[in-house]
Amino acid sequence: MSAVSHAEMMRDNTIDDPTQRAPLLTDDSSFGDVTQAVAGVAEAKPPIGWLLGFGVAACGALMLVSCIGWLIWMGVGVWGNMTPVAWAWDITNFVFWVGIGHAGTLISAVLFLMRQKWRMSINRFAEAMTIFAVICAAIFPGIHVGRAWLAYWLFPIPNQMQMWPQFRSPLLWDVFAVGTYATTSIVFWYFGMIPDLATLRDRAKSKVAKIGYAIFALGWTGSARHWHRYERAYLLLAGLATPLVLSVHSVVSFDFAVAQLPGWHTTIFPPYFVAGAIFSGFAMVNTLAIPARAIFKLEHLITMRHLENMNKVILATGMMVGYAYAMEFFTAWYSGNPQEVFAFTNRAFGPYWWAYWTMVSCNVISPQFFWFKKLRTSIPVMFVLCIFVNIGMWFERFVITVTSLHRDALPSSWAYYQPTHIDIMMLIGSFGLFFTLFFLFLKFLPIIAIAEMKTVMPQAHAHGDHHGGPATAAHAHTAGSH
Amino acid sequence: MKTVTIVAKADETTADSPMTDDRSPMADGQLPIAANEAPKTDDRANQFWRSMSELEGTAEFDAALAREFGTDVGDKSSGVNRRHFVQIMGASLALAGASGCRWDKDNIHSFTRSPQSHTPGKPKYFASAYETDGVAQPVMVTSYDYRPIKVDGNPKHPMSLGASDITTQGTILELYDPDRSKRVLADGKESSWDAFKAFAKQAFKGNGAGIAFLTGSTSSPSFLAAAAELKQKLPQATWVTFDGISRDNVRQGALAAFGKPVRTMLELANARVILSLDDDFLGAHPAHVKYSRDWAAARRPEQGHDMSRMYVVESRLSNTGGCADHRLPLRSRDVKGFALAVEQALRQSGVSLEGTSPQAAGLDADVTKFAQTVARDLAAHKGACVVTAGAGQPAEVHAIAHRMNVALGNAGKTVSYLDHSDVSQEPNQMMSLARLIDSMGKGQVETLVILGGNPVYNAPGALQFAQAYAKVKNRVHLSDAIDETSKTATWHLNAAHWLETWGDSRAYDGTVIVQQPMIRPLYDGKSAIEVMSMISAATEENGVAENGYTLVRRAFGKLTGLAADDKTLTTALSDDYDSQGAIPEGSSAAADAKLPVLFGSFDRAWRQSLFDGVVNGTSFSKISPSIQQFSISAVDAPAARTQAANGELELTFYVDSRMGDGRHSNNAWLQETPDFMTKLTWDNALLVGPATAKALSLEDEGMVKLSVNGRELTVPVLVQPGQAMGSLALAMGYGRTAAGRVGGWMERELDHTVAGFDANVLRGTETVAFVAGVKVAATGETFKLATTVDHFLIDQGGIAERERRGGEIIRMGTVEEYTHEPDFAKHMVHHPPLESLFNEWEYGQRRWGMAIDLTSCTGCSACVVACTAENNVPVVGKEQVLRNREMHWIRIDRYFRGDPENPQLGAQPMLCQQCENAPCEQVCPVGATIHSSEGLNDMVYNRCIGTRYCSNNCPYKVRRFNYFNFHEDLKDGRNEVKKMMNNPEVTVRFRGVMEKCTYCVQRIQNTKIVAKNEKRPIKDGEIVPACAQACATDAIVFGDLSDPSSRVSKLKKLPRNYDVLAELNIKPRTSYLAKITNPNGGLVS
Repeated sequence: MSAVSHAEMMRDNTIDDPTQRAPLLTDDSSFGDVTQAVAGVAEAKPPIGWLLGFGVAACGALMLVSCIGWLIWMGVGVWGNMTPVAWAWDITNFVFWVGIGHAGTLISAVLFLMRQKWRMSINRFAEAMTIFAVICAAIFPGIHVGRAWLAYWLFPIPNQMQMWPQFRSPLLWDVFAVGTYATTSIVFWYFGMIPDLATLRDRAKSKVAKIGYAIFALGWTGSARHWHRYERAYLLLAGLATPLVLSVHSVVSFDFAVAQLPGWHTTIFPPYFVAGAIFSGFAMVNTLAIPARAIFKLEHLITMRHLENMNKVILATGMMVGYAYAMEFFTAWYSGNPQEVFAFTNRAFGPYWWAYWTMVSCNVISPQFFWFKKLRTSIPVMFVLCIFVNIGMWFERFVITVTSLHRDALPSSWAYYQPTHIDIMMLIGSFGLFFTLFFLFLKFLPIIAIAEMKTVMPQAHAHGDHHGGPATAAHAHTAGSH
Repeated sequence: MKTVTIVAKADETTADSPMTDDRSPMADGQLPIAANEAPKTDDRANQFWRSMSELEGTAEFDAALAREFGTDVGDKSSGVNRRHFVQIMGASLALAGASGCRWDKDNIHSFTRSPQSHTPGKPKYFASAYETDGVAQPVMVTSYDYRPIKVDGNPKHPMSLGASDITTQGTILELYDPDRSKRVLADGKESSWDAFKAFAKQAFKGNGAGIAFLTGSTSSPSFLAAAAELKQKLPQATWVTFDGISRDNVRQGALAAFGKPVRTMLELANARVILSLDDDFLGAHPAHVKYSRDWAAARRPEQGHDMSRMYVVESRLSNTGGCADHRLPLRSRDVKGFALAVEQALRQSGVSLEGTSPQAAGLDADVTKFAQTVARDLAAHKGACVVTAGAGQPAEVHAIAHRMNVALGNAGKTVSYLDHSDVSQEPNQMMSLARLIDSMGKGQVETLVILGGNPVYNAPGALQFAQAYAKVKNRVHLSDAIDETSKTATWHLNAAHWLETWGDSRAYDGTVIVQQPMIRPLYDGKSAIEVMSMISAATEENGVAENGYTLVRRAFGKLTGLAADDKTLTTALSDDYDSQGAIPEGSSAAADAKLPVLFGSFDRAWRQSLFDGVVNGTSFSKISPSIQQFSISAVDAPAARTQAANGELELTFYVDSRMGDGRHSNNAWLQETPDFMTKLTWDNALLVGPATAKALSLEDEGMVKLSVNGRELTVPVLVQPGQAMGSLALAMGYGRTAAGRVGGWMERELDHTVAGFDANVLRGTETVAFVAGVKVAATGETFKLATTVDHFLIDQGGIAERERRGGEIIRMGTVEEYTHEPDFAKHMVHHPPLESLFNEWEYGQRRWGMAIDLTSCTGCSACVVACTAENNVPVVGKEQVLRNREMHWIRIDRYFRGDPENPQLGAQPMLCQQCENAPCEQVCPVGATIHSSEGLNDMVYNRCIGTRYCSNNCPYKVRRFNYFNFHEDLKDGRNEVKKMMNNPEVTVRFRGVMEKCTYCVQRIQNTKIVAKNEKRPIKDGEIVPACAQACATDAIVFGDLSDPSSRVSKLKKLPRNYDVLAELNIKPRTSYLAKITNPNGGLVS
């Protein structure tokens, strides 16, 4: 029932037709067009939207830096943290940003290994986002300690004081997990970018840009040998990065799961955190991709089908997260431990009920709209829902961290946590930093993997395994899942 | 002469000044006993001085002095190091010779030649006395390098036995309070003692007409002698005593009942049944330390005899009410009716009471039933019961209580009567104060000398003291701070702190204690007796004022009957032998043999008294007075107990155990110690019962305008369980406007808001502590109250869970239940067999542990302040308390149970439990909290980076984090003096590190060292943590668990011993003994 014509498919590649594969690109760009579309972004004068956005984001980043200065000067007390809520927005922000950082690796490594070619147009994006999110995340544990200047004691550095970290502590595992993840992600991202940096180098008009790109292009010439080694290494790095997708957030969740606090002490956390991380990461990729593809006119490269696919992942992981929320209640009840039961009823119906129900509404209810194709292919709807998911996932971390702590074993120490201005400014500031880095990325680096993109274009297979023509080439390299 | 200096005044310096490096072991020292004793002349040339300009008294130097600390020192406060200090000292010593002629005949030691008995860094202990309102607390002062750092009870004195109370523990901070007055002021301008002496020559002439003296109550023999001398020299002068906390009713009650002044001493250890008529004898009684100890001794379910049973009838839930087996919330003004109902019931039970009494009519059925049940219980325990009335109750109630005690045969058994005629005070102080104010207002008083006290603040508002005060021409006020009264005085005389000066006083049982100076007066203050001596000298042509040492020695000679000539009285004892170990325990013959021959019998007795902290044979004699006829006015019909009508409300003024009459207002330790019942810090509030609040639509933290008899005050509301319906309560001692930077100092530093609200404004001249006909009107404003428990944000689910958990955390049972199932407490929480992920620790020789008896804990909070003093625990201020960042290493958790109008109560001191399987240790990434071989969870501050993970994982939430540098204020030059009070044995923690209870590890280590040097095992009870040391009820016991015969091991073997949160398998080393109550079956529904 090949009712859908190729032209129709090119107009709307979200149409599902079992007889043919949806095209990955929605126009008939040539290789040159793709190069021009992507590299042009970096070469052209930035549009007004970029200038505005960068300006606002940079102010935010500056605010973060000032707040950190104030925090280190005065002490952690400038936040609202207290006894019993010794961790609050600091750790909430940390876990939130680490979670955001998950989508990058998943898209670039796991989907790469699974030969999901539709990843090609968004992976650079997602990887960049990952790295910036991890940078934002890494700031918080570094500065949340009371004596930030001694935070290096967390690392196993041989020293004259004969001090050594305490390996039973999940915080130490965190250091290794996040450190490994950040390193691997940066290498993976940078490595994948080398051919494109070479393209930018070759196209650069100004001497400064030429030298700059040349340094980072590492002398790439595009020889067959280069390509051969590049692809081998990329595959290996993808293999290396894949387990990290599962490990990082599992280890982060150990911070909570290993503690004996009701509400934290639960074995469901590792898978639940990973699902949540992917959930929030994809939502963030969408949140960034939607305006970026509009501003830089990349709709034909980051197509509606890409967005739709990501919405499907959001729907799936959102359901997993919802399942985890339900299971937490079930296990608490099933355990017969009154403290566990109270921790969860207090979460939903205690003083922080509003945070809990914000979380449930955003994370469980809002993705349900993606069941409807019309909604999951609507740009305004998905943009709003993805922002809801981002909000919801921040609240999830807040709910886990704060509502468990604020009423623990002895009612005499129960209290109600409230953030200070600095808490709020630092959260906003962390977004400022994230977007500052992201805007810089948009301006100076190839935001879509040009070289990889070309491998999935019909032209790359003009004389390939099928009988030629754009339609068949598109057939061979499709965006749908197998 | 203005002496801020000090450095080289080696001969009389017992400690250095605020300007010297407080940690310097070079701080010159002399035995405090010998300090201040020689007569001094005020000639500049006879003093050591710091510079030529000081010697010459140049204007620059005076100006520099007025800046409190010279720029050289103050502005570089942290820059005065030991070397600098030694330089100054060396220079001063070198110049000392220039003063030529003669100097005090004391020994000069530089620390290059340490005093014979002194080992730098080793503490010494001195017995002394701390007098409040005429009653001395026997104390033992810890002194490091002649710097007192801690005050505890004197273990040798029967009124203390080593225990102490919250204000005694806190008083050390007041010594080093930077807001203390530093010099004499005349009309607000800087002046000198010499100028005052010159003034006195003019003012105190003739027969004393137009002169009035206003003092607080005192039992000091030297004070009374000095007053007698003055009365003789100025026969027409008026003498008035007035205490902010009135005990008029107690005195008048005893006078009515017995016809003579008699002091009542309860012997609670012998009492099987106790009835308290609005008497918080465990919290607010001059003898509450002893009372608490005796009361607790009779409430140990294991001791084989019956536990005592306590009934409390009161309006406000007090510490005593919280410990009661049965408590009846009743308006304070209805207590008299209740007392009469008990009398009636006693008569019906065949107890013969003297005299007649009016009928108590209109009592509710349950009140009558309560009264009858109590009466039956009392009648069944003749000679073994106690009835006691609170100081706030009218004299009649006291008389009734005396009558009941005598009729029940309690006199001489559970109640002793002491003949305190030597020191007895005017029975009606309020009336004599009113008379004085009246004559002041009429301009009949030309010179008013106020020796201590702060009447402008704490005289009842209705008396309008301040207005009358302004009409007095010469207003002389001796005070240790520029308080409300000093601000408007024409002469402010700066008083010495009691730790700085010689004095004497009597404990509640009458034993005289000599008060020894521990340090030279930091700001050249004088004691009251010295000022009286100055005035006395001024009345004579060539009168010479005597110093405290001579005055106290003279009074001592009179008391003991030992003769001493003037030379003996004024001569300083030589420092030839060690004061501490000088008088060995044991036979006095052996002791005498060790004393140098140059001591006569006077000096021998003197030294013995100083060493023991008690002058033998001076206690009041016990008498057996007989009941006189007295009449009792008719009782108003009590208002309905289920209603609270605005305008008919009762307001009680209660004594806050921390602030007293307001004198401790500037004491940050006490301000920040949470009130046990309300958990309120830094403020007082109007306590309203839940039902009353509902009836009047009052809410927590809402401001209300209180009005009574035309006087008004706006205060915030705190809804407090257990408060009687229709009765409101307001603590006294708050709302100081000239206390200092802590308590409130409205003019000097605007940014320091006043702590609390001044209840005195509302007080009338009633001698009772309650007033009826009070109106409240909500103003619509709110006020933040810094309570340390989740008081205001609790939902129904939270309340239910708190109630449920309360029973598991504080396990309670009755004597019957305990007898029936002794180990009931162990079975209250069920859990499966526990398995640990980690290997169990193996311990060496010792395993430290603690057991806390919840039956005994009254919630007095002395342990909290003791811990603060011992461990340099910082104060964080109201704003930080509001953020839940208080730093106390020990807190007293208090859980209510049952009816909010009359709840059952449990108190639980909560401190680090030193878990064997400690959750904190497992999660620290840098190994800053680690397990010691003796089972302590050691905290390594240097290593801590402050992740706070340990706090999150601590189920008891006893870890405290330094969110800021809470010792920041020490950098302020003005606070330099506060450094002197820190315990040098304990690290002052920096910001960003976690801290917590260590079981006073410094004391453990010190004792271990001593025992090791002496090649002997540590004795049980040799190591006492600060909390256990302060505890009057002996509720906290510490020791070695590996020794099965240690007290703590034995306590832990008791069946009612349990671990809090044992189900978490964390194996706490601190355990609790379940609270056992002894209810009367007749009152249990």
